[in-house]
Amino acid sequence: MVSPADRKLTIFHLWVAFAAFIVASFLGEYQVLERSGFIPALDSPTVYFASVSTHGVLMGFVLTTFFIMGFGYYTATTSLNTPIWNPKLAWYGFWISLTGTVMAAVPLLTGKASVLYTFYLPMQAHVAFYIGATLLVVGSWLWCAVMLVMFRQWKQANPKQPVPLAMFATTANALLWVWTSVGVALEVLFQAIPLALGWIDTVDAGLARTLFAWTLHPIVYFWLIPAYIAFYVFVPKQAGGYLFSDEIARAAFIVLAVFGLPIGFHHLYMDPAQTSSWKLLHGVGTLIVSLPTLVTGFTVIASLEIAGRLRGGTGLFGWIGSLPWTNPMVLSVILSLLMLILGGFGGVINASYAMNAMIHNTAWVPGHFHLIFAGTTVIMYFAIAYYLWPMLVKKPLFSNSLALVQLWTWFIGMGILTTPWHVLGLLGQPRRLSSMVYNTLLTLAWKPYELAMIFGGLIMLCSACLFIYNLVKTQLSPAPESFIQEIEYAEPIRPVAALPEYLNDFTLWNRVIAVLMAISFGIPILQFFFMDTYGSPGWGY
Amino acid sequence: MDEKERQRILESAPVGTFALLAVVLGSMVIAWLFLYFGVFIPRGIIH
Amino acid sequence: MQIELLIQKCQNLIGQAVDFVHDFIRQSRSVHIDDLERKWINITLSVIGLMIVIIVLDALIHNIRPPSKVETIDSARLHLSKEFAESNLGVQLDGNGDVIVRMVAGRYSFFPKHIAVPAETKLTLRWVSMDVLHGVHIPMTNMSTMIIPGYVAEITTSFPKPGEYPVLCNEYCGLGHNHMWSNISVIAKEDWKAPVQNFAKKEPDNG
Repeated sequence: MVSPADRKLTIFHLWVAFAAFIVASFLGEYQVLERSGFIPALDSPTVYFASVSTHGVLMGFVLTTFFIMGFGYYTATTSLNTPIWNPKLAWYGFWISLTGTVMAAVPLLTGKASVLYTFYLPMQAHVAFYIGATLLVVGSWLWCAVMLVMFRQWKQANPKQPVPLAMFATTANALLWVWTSVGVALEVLFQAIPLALGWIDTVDAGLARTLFAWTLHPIVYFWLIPAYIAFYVFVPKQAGGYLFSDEIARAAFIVLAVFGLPIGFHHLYMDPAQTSSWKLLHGVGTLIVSLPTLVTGFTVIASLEIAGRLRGGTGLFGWIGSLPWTNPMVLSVILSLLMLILGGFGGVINASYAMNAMIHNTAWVPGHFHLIFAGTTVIMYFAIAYYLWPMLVKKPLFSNSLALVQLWTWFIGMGILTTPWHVLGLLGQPRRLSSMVYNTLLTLAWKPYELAMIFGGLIMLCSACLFIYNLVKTQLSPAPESFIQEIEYAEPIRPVAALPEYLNDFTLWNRVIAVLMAISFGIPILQFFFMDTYGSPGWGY
Repeated sequence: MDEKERQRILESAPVGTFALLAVVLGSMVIAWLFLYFGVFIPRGIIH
Repeated sequence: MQIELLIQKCQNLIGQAVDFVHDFIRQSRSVHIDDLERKWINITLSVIGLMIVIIVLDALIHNIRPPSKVETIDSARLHLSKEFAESNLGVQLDGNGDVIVRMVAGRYSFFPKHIAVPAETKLTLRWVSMDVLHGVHIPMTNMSTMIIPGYVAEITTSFPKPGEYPVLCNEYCGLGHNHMWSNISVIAKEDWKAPVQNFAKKEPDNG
């Protein structure tokens, strides 16, 4: 039984996450409408770029960080069967992050921080934006501390026992986040804030981008890992089966964390400030990190196959039909994996070194990350929310059918939104435009795709509203006489017998990460201090 | 479903999964090769 | 004595490393991996390997790489630099008869606003920014690079098809970003005439 206090901690985090989500969803549909140019009255770069910046920060910093923290607290206490360590610290983290969010939101919404999600210097935002973003990250480090301490304490109290998989993966994610956030922290603390305050006159844009690239790839694994956690620890049981392999799951999380870090230069392939050799090294690493995802796919689908066969499915593919498609968690994983196939493929194209020139900074890129993040990852966030909410508020989910409709419409809307987006990229449309004013025939070819995208976005907006509606109704409905539901973690087919220590601990992997990061980023960052570089002053927009 | 059948399933190899993923991976390889040699390279070699 | 101690230390370290690897392998053997899953892992590694091999071979043999020449320049003083002074911009032939294009990116256009280059010919394009980050892409070609203030972005490519192409900025550079574009005419090789100009400076003087 989870204490009311721990449930409150979780639910506060999740509500901030989903509040950010619904606001950003409306901004998203506005953007796709404005961009198409079909409603001239909407045309406004000022509003558009403020919206894109806000939408990006809300979806990619607020929704994600708060969701992961809330889910992490609940996972820690339920999988380890112990109350949350130092709840005071946890709440400090929450309030610091929330303060940071509000502090960043004000300049974002008033057009004083239209520097987009990637806030690439030397373009300058209001200093409150940078400080707000910093506080958001600092608050999340307190979450990391709580996760790491709970992990350590459990291990000390249960020597030689396998750490429950859900907590093992959550701790891996916390460690990953600490390593990941250093890059952007360095950029913001030593470049962005001093420049905004006038303490320094110039910054080196090459160094700024390199530091951001440190964060930019592993942050998406920070977001993705909770979805994979749900794949491994919830899905098999919800499907009526067992986890195909616990050990492989641990290995996948480790390889994801270790190889997700030293590969950020695939975001800098087209940059002049890094040499092709370093880019090639990072490119090879990026292709390697597709392995844990492909292995996850196999392990999870194999678990589904066992479940389907246990439910009576026969033949090579009959088990697919016999799965409980009306279980939101099961439906979500199926839709998530479908989007992972296409989104993952797009990622491999992006990673392929020189081939990146074909799609760099074109519309393909937002098409890709909406499919893989808003699709594969966020649909699992929905699934986790549907699963946890009844246990958090001690009331049954308002409507299971509405949940299924919401998941299907999210998937369908995503397909209609992102497929044209990818095509537009191959047809050369740049990203981050608020309107197509080029006086060239090429842009006429883009119009039909933009029209289709409006409808995809609209379906997704309705889906987003359905999601919030279901959760709100669940929370506000009268409490039933008695409501007993406990979290159920999947069991492996064969119990974990002898688990190597390196699959139960992170000491070794921390060292490996340190070495790999030194190799991948050491010289590429240090070079800026040994070259004669010319800095850029801050620019408005 | 009796206990023996259940055990058999639990110990069986996931052939459906393997077949499904082999098709998916194969398609990805073909698509990658097509994009690399059919779209990227013809647009001009770069360095 | 010191050297003997050092050798002893090294031997200990190597011994520890070997023990560690042995232990790692022994523990790994105890982990059960389903045969089909093992097969899948091997197939996946082969596919990843194939892609890496194609990319690395293309990089080493055909020099197919992303534009990566690390070269700095003072973006605030472009007009004072010999290479990117206004009179030196655009299309020129260098001493070897190669086509070099020098462009300046700045809010909100690329300068010169219209250039003409030959098709199916090796071109070296050198881009600089006079203000913030820009990106430039000529659709349907691989002419794509970031333009970072403080750096010269150099890319070598060739355009396969003659035609009129837009030159588009694809990195957000401010509220006028939508309007940032210029034109390039790709002219059939036999019809293109090299501009009448002094040979471009081979050594850029970008202080």
